[in-house]
Formats: sequence, structure tokens, C-alpha cells
Amino acid sequence: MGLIRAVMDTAFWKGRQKRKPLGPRWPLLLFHVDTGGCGGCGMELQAMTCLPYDMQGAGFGFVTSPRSADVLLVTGPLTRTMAPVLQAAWEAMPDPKGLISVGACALDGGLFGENYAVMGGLERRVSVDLAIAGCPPSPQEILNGLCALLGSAAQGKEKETPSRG
Amino acid sequence: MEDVCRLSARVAAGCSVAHQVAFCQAVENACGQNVGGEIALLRVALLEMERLFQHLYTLAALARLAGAHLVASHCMALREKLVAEAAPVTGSRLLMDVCIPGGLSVRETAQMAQLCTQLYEIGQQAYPQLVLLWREYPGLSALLAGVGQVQADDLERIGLDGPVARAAGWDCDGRRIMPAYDGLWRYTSGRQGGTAEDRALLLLDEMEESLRILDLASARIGLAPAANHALSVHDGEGTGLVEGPWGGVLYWVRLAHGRVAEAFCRKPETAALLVFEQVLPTHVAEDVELLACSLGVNAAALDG
Ligand code: SF4
Repeated sequence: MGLIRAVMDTAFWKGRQKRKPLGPRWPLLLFHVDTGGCGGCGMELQAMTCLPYDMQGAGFGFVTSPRSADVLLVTGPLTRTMAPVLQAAWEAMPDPKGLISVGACALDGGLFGENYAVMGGLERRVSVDLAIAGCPPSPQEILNGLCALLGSAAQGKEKETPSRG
Repeated sequence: MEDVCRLSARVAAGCSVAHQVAFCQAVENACGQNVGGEIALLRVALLEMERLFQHLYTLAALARLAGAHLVASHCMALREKLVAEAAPVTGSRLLMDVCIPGGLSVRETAQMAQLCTQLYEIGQQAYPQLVLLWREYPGLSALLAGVGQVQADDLERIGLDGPVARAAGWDCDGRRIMPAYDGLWRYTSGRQGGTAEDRALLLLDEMEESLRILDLASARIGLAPAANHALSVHDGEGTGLVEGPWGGVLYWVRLAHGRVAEAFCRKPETAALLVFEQVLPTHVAEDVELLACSLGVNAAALDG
């Protein structure tokens, strides 16, 4: 817990705008870290990058290095082995930066209780800019959540998809 | 009991039905109860849907890692079409929480036969084009043929079954011993060279086989009532075995005082990691991700 407190320097979050203003770097670049769990949220993120979801048209792109990312996307409950990885990714990102949790696990640990290996969700440790609920949320729900962060409507009208997994 | 079942659905996304069915079978065996042919048949349909979705996801990942982005996007687009068709009926895109001890918890059980037919039709229409694209995409086969060659003897010694073993010539498939697959599954001989290319082509073959099983199952579903059984939970032990997308998933449970007192899960990803470590030294760094993907190494399943 102390490690994560140190990682996510809470002082940084004070006075931050709730909504990240659109900067000159368009699209908004996302860096994904899967910190544990079943991998379902990661699969839905992968599906979001493909047809028929127009992620790039909505203004988002994934990057493979945190150094060029605007937002850290976290899926899965925080496991002790992944905590240093998350810390390193966060520290490598340039300011200003944001944190988004995708799925129940990343926010509050979901079905995975705290134990010797699992530290739980992010909500009691750091300030999260946006929490996208679901176990897992569907690709359209993730895209809608990201668009809501920027205050824009989701692109495209997709078939209603169930959110229980 | 329900919580453990929900947890079993989340050991490894993509193999969720396999874990749920194996866990439910173990509990039902511990209680000495049989769920009946119709529920078993509906579970087979869900298992084959999952195999279809997961094989497409794996093929897309392999193609992407090999630089064949067009092929990857074809695989993902077809997967998404099938998943979007199935989700309103099953209630879950990744087929989570569709099984409970004693039965099923899909949203629209009455529409399962129709769903099987729809998935078969969508799949059959797109399949020949996908296979052609895979086989003829410049450089894809040649790149995969040089990655991750494994021998059947080594796999048997380490205990890695599933498509990795079948593509190396080890004839192992848990569906052979599952009574619910009688008249649905048949042994299909495929590539046996043991490379990533053989595994990819075997996944394509298995997709066709799953589509065929869905088609056959659609004609049988609905011939008998599909009522869930109220389990009378006794103290005892039971096991359940299912052939998941990456191999055999086995559960052992011990029930006591109406609860799951202990559980053990055997999954293929544990052995996949050992095989990965064994063949890793013969590969260059650029191929490591491709190698892990083609062997079914899955960190989520390993920490589950
Ligand atoms: S929120 Fe659900 S789907 Fe996502 S990682 Fe956790 S258990 Fe898996």
C-alpha cells in the first residue's frame, strides 16, 4: 500500500481538473497495464481497437511506451508483482497525465479479495480520473467512457451489449 | 457455491466456459447428481462457441505479432460479429456466468438452438475466405514455420495437451471421453509438425470442427426439457474434466456443510509456461511474444 502511495503521489492530484483538456497532441494516447485478474478487460480493450469500433475516429490511440502516453489505463486488481511495473509506467509518463480504471477489479478488486498476492483495487489508494464499471465492460462501454472523459458523444451506434461479462 | 462458480469463470477469460463447466461437473459429481442430456448438450454448445471465439482471438494475435495486420483485422472482425450475435442470447460477451452447479444461467435458453444455427451460418460464410487469406498472405506461413517447434514426446512428459500437443502429433482430446460429445465430435487429423504454423493451421481446422458441432447441436437442442436441477449438496468429493480452447481443464472439489471447502484446478497454461521456457533459448528476442502466444502462455491464467 505504501509503495502505491509513493507511486501515485497524491499531492499531484490536488487541484487537477476533472476533465483533461484537449491539448495539441491529438489523439489522446493511452498506455495499458494489466495488473492481474482474468484478462477479460484486456480482451475487450483489444476488441475495441478493431472493427467495428472506431477508436481512432473517436480520438484515441494506444502506445507501446508510457513515455508518449497521456493516460494510464489499468485493468485487473493490483497484484504485488505488478505494483512496481505500474509505478514505473506512471513515473515514465510526461505531465499532465491521467489514470483510468477499466473494470470492477481495477477499481475495487472485484471478485479478487486482498491477500498475500493481491493488493485490491486502486480506489482506496489513489485518485482515479475515470472508472469504467463492468466485469468486463464491453468495448462500446469502454469507448463511451473514454469519450465521456473528453465530454464528447460516443462515435457510432452499436448494438446494445450486456455488461455482465 | 455461486461465488466460487463466478470465480471459476474468471480464472482465465477466453477459457471461462471450460472452467465453469469443469467446476460445475465436479460439484455435481460430488453431490452424485446428473444434470441430464439437454443441459449437457447446451454446455457443449457453449464450449464450442468459446473455442470458436478464442481461436479467432489467438489467430488474430498471432497474425498481428507476425506483422500480418490485414489478417489480424479479418480474424477480429469475424470474432466480433459472432460475439455480438451470441451476447444477447447468452447474456455475456465473454460467456462468463453462463453455468451454475445443476444447470445453466444463460439469458435466453430457448434461443440457443437458433443461435447455434446463426453462428454456423456466419462462420461458414466467412471461413473459406479467412483460410485462403491466412494461407496466401505473403510471408506469414514462412515466419510462423520457423517459430516454436516442439516434440510430442516432450509435451507428453511435461503434460501440455490441447491444440499445441495435437499440432505436434499427440492424439489427445478430452472431448473423446465426454459423453455429451457422442455423435458430435470426431477425430480430425491435421498438421503434426509442431511449429507455430502447424498450431495456427490446426486452430483454423478446429474452428471448422466447432462450427460443424454447433450445426449438429442446433438440430438436437430443444428435443428434451432443459430444466435446471436443484442440487441437494452433500459432503463429498468430485471431479470434472473438460476440453477447453487450450487443453484439458480439470477441477477437484471437496464439499462440506453446503460449501466448497477445498478446490484444485488443473489448467494447461501451467505446462505451457514450462514448454515456453524449454524452447525459449533457441529463439531471438523478436520472436518471444509470438512464441508465447502460439504456445498459449497466459499470465492471467497462471496467476488465477
Ligand atoms: S473486472 Fe472482471 S473481466 Fe475484468 S479482469 Fe476483473 S474479473 Fe476479469
